[in-house]
Amino acid sequence: MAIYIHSSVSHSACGNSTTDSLTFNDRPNISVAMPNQENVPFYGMHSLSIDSSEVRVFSTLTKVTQQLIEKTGLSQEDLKHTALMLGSTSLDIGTIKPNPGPAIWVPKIDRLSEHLQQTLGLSLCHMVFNTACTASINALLYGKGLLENTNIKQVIIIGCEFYNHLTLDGFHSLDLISENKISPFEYQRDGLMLGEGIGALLLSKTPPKRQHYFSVLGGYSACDTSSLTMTAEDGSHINSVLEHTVENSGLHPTDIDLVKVHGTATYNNDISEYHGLKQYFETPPPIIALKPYIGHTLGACGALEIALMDELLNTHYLPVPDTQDENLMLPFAPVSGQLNTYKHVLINHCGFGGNNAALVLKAEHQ
Amino acid sequence: MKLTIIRQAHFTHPRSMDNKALRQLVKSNFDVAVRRMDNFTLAGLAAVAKLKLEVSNPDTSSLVSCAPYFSVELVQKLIIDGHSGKSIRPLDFVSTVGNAANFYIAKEFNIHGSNLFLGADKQALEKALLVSSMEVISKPSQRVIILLWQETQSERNCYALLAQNAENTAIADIENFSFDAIRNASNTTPFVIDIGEPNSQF
Repeated sequence: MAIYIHSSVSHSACGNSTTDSLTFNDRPNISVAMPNQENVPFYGMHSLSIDSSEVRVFSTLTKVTQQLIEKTGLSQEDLKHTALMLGSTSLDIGTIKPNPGPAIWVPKIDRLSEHLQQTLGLSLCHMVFNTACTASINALLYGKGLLENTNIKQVIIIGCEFYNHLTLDGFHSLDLISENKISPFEYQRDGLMLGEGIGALLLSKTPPKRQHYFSVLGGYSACDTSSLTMTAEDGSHINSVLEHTVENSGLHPTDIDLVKVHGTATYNNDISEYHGLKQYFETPPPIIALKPYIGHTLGACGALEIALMDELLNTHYLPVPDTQDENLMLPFAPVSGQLNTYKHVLINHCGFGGNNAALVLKAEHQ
Repeated sequence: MKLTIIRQAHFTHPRSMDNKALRQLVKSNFDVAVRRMDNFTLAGLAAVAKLKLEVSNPDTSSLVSCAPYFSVELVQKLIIDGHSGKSIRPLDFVSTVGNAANFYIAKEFNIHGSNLFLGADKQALEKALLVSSMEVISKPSQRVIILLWQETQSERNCYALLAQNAENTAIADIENFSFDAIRNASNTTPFVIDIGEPNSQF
């Protein structure tokens, strides 16, 4: 059964895809002071002032999901048969205030998905995927399974991550944040920069009525227990996930025309991903990376980067870094390229806790 | 969609039990690695250990876990420290990432298939079973360890199930399936449960 990305909405440092013309700037738009007074660069959501208030998190998330529903034209009756799968790492953690008294004072993990379900009248089948940077890719993979095997009519996939001091401070403590720029797959890369954003996708069994769109072919998700914080540097586990993913898609490695890499620009992640791609492909196809334009949005990045690609599919523009090939571990797609000229796009993500996941999108047209 | 439940187990500890005491208890009773583990992870390790898994092929074992809260003790401490202006220590940050417990459990029991940590409060059991059934539909030879934490102000309960595809099985379906049924082992394993359709279930 074919499953389609019927519609998408994104809100990130590039803008809101419903209300803005997206712009792909490869520099962070905010600087945040850490407890030690050091400033850390951050990619905030375009046109939103930065804070970690409850109202900012809930209203932005609700607005983007409503924009998706308006775009799809789903009726209130349709929404009752629409499941919600939300992937995020930090969820609403920035909004929580200490309340020493009861033994448990933190909110439940599914507070955001329950809020959307109740506010928008969705099916009670809502859940949260919390698998670090693969969270919303896993939400998409299992959402696809839900459509293929149950009476659920549509699935909304949300990837969301919001500015919060704890995550920024945590990554800062790990010394993973670049002081320059995000340069995935460059030999001289020096780390990641964090970002926030929301990607909303509607998965359906029927194709949308627009010129270019993606169908979701196969995918695979597996656990590498070699290290809590990173996947095997020799790329063996990524290679294995890619093998299963392409096989589940009914394709061969030579059918893949483009790879959208995870590309955090940390030394170790890019090395692992590079080795995985080199092992799997005799000659890897060209790559694209979107974190230079939105930052690393952690659990949101799977759905958010696909939402951006869904938008790019209908443009004549492909954001690629302005870097000479000799400085790159793998060649990027040409700057003059159009996304809709690549038929099979492999999407790869690696996550904390050994979670690696990938899927193949097929560019379709009417 | 049906799943065969091959084994079931339950572990509980009072919330007042301190970390050192729980580590000693889990170490001595189940012989698993407990160094630096928080109580949330320890309870999960203990419940899965009680399933007495024999993993012959790590790739055909998956872990689907579901909890209403992250590790309460760790996250609450992190938030208090953050609000008092303390810088986060790298190890404290890493251990509070939501799926850290899943990683340690997968490592201890040699689970290399999917490793999903889900957040759900209401109908957590139904949601974990639904995702587990997706797992065995896409990978029919997969065995899924399903792990569910349930928290109250006074205690933590952890329920573990070992499940597999129910196709071609002659075992009768059971009707009474709940946390209480697992806790009391009211159904003799193995048994089959019908997951049902999400729109009628939820």
